Amino acid sequence: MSGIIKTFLIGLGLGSVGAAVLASYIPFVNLQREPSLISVQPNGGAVETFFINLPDDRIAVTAPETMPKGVLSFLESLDQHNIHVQAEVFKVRNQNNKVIGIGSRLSSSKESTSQFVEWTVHFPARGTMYAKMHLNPEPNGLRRGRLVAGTRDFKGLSGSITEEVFASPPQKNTTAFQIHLKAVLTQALGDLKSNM
Amino acid sequence: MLGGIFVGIILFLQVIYFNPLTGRDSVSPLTLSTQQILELHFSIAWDDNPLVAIAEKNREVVSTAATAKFSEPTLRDTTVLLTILKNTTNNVAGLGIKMLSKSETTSLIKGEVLANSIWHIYLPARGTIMIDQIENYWAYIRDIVIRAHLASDKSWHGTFHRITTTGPEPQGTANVSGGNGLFENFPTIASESLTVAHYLAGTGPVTADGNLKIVIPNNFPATN
Repeated sequence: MSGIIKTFLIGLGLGSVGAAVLASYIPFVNLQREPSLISVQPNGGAVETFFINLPDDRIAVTAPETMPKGVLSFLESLDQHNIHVQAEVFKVRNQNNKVIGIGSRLSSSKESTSQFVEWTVHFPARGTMYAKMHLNPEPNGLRRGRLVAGTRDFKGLSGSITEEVFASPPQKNTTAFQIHLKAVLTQALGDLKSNM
Repeated sequence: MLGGIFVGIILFLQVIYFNPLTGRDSVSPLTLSTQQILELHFSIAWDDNPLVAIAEKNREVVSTAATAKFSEPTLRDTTVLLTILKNTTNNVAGLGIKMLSKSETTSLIKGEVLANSIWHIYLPARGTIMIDQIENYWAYIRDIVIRAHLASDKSWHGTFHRITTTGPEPQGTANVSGGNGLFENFPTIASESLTVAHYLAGTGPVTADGNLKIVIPNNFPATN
């Protein structure tokens, strides 16, 4: 076998093996992460608060009559299709005001089976929380709820979620209101026992 | 030597691209289920306009579906779809919000272009559900996106149908959590598929239909 062919075959091997090694070890997706700003309650539970600045963080809303400029919505009211629900999609921020996820809020006061308010908050690098809220907020405006299901980092957790809306100081940029979503989450009891 | 390395890389890419063992599932694992299946359809309007650009331009309205993309670093690989869901008779059956993020477990060598996706769904007179799934888009990218970009007219026409759901359940199905209404306390499973007939390299799918199959548990309350 001539030297040229031998060199070519060595290169061929190096090229194919090298490409396979690179394909195995180089991540094709590298999600940007922000620090999770979590505190621990004295009586148990990891506390994390998420923030939504209104109107800037609103991405989509189903009710065209209430739609502010620049937000996606449907052409017509969905009531004609018997869809009596208010759906909103928001960007969700951490305590450092960094956008870390997306939240969808569904609510209905006309639903025939049961009235509801619920949140799904999706963090690309961490997972998703699905929370069911009480229909009526407390007199101080606080709406309580509980985690129904979680995925990835939130899988197997249980706990409470609260929703509260605050008016922002008028001089503070364009934010008129801020929604605070506070999660107090613990491991499911079965998991705690298995670790003891 | 350099020529050999180049040919070796091309050879490897050919093996990945033509691997017959990856991305071929076109039959739902729910086909064998003896339980009732709820079937929902939605149109896929994956336009390339980032939402921020739309928002800056003007008030934007959509007819049946809208897709949002983002400029924030943490949401760079995330897409949101807001859509009307229809039943098998093409009547409006509900409203769905899909949040989809590329997965770091993506591995081309295994033929896996994975995404973690969440559906938040409202079905009138039935209630709400959240669907958690892992989807594999390798077959879609290989059979449509790459071919469209390689074609002289930068388009793809044909018939493509694949099950995109691959987990997180071991049998390759999605988890469904009941929220309010009839679905409350009725966890079940689901599967999503994608059907495409026309794709343009510049704008994305032109004729495409998504399909969600949700297993209705046998002890599920009657809706009427």
